[in-house]
Amino acid sequence: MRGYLIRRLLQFIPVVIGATFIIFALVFAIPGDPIRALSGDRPMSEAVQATLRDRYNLDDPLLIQYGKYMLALVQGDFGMTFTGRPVSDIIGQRAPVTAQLALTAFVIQAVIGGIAGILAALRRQGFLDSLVQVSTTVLVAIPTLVLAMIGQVVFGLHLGWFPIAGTGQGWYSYVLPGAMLASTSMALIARLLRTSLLENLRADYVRTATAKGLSRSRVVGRHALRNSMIPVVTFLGADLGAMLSGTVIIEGIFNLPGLGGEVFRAIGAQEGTVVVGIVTLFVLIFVTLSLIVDVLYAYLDPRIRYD
Amino acid sequence: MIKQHATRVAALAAAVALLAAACGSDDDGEPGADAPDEAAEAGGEFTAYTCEPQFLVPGNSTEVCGSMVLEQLFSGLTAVNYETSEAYGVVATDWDTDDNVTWTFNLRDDFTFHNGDPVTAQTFADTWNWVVDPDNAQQNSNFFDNFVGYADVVEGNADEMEGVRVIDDTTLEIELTVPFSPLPIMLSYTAFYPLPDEAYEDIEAFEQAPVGNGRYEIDGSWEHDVQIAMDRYEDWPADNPGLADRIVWRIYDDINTAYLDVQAGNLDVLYSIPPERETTVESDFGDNIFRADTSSFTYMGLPLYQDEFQDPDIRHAMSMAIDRQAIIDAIFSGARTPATAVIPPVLAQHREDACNYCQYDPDTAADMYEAAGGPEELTVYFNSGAGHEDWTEAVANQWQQNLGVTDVTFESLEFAQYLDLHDNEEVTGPFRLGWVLSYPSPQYAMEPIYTTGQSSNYTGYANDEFDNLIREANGAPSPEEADALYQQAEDILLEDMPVIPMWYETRTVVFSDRVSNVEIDPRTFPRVEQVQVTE
Repeated sequence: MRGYLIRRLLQFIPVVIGATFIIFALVFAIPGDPIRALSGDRPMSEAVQATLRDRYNLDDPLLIQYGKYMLALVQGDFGMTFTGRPVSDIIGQRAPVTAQLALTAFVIQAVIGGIAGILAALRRQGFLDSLVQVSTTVLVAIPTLVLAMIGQVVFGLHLGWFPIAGTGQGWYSYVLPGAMLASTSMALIARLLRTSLLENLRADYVRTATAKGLSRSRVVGRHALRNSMIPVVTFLGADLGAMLSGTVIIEGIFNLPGLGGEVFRAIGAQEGTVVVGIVTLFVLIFVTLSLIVDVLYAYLDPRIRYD
Repeated sequence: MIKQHATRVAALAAAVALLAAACGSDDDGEPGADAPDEAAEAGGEFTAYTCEPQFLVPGNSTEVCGSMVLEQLFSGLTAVNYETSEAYGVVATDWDTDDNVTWTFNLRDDFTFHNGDPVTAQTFADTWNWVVDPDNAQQNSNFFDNFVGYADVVEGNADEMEGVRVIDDTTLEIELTVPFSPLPIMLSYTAFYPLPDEAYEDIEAFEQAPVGNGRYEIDGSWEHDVQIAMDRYEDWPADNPGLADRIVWRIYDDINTAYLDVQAGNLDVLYSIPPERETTVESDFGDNIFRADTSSFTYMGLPLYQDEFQDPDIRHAMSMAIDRQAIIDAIFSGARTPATAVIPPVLAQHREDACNYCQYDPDTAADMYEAAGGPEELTVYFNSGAGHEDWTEAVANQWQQNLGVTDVTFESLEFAQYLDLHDNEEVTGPFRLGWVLSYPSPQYAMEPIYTTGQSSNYTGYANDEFDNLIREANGAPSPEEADALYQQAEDILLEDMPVIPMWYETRTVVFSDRVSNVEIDPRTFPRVEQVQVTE
């Protein structure tokens, strides 16, 4: 296990270098001059443009730009936006917002999705099961963007239960956007868990456990559920990537100053340093989380070993 | 701007449809119209919309989001009366010139920065020299390009502009390279606000909490993407101090979200609404709406450097083949004013009937286009993601219907790439662009876009007669003579028609029940200093 962990951690290095280079090259490849676009229809003077180009190394070839960027990065300098703000400031200010949003969404989808899935499986063919089946179908069918806007209008504006925008009310501000971000995954978790649990409940080892006289809750909780979690954990691992991209939409609609909105803006403004900084962070988070998921596997299913 | 308008509109339409189906009729039970007339009383606090500013240094701020905040934090030598399009003194008391070249400005001695430093003639001279210095990379530096000595500073041959001379603490002399009568109006622009000495020590730190000399002073610092709060500066010495004690600019990424927040009562003033809301704004807000014409001008430029567009008759025909009002009604829910001139209706110098070729006349247009041998295939250019898809398509449809154009191709590009194409003169067909007046002068409505070789002249238009008239108007001894000359220049422009005037934007402002007296000026800035808090 330890060797495996070390091997996985060493994999971070090529992944980060590869990811930063690819992103840097992609932003570099966007046609048009970002400095020229900064001031819009009325161009700034040549002298000012030249100063700015020089300040951001924009006249260098791709490899030199990338080299200068990485050299600064190693020294802890994340670079600056074209408006002169340090990227590290932006990340420091915005990362907690995205983290809170993602965490809220994660808790909502895990708890509600999990409970719905278990209840549906235990009450198969009953009312609860049908309710879960229908509501999850609806949730999966509606795009997150549309759902979020409906949720905002219904629960924020008309019912007034939640704030419509911003982070002014602490954790409470994140409940509605978190739920909207979680909606699709929540539905999928419920369905996945239901199917998986139903299958396991019919398995031989469950019949054995029941025959041994174990209580129903112990049979379901310790035996069937633990095995049923494996596909769910797999799903959660893959889903986290999708969730990070989902924050781009949700943060925009609910006006949350998180990383998603910033990366969207930065791509439009061709700010390579900002895009690379944030996306690298996303990549690191994703790689770390998939490592956690893989370790969880070993815990859930002792047959899976990595050595 | 980088916004996915099309998807937002589509999704919103879907959301609205679903909501309507789900909720049936949903009456909010709006409270009746409040008693509108109360005596103007100072005090209170309100919130206003802005987007995240690019910069909060006057010399660097070119967009509305930052400029309208800076306008409250700083005061320039002059400001503009928008009723008459004339300048009046703020830090300056009066000014004097014999030849529109050398100007003497007399300054008040009682203006101070929020840190207590006095504002003197030297303050302005220092600020302007600093803004022009290319090492400081201030985007507005070329607003000084007709000051004597500008080129020397830009080229690094001098540290100070020779044309800005401090006579004493309250007397500032400005010498220009050419006669320029709109100078007092131009000096009202953001680029010319004064900076205190502490700004130069660490401009990045200063930008986070600008110390100005305006009606309001910043409270705390610029909370990026969240808000900018400001309190009234009680030592502001001029007339018309701000009414509210405190203004909080709430920063939104998306104007749709801001709109919902005004509806829910969490935001007090939103100075621009999403276009798709025009149809429902009256039922959403009742009397809490203010509509105003603005100087925001949209035009279809024609690349005169391409052979097909050199015959003016072709340009006239293309203009006459467009039913502007129909497009405005269909696509903007009526929130535009068809252009009948190049000098916008918000300026006193505007003439409604200046344009001979802006009326919809498809028959004449068709004959003229055929006689002049207009191109049968057109490529129409616009920048993507900024809401120009629908109307450019509508215009192209009308050219197809009315002019016998058989084939239209659309080129939609990111803004940066779009501007590159223009700079390299690689545009092969009609293109959309716009113009907002930074200061309200007919000079600024024409000179930067249409005079030969100017940086914002994207059509490649060159006409000596037009250039001379602008030059003469800039040097005219009296405002009346200047206006007449500007209008003559406008006539030439509309006859040559390097651009097809499309329309001027009408802004719809919405506000909450907590405030009254909400207005915007022709630059689309909300006049927040006169907003009254009623609760």
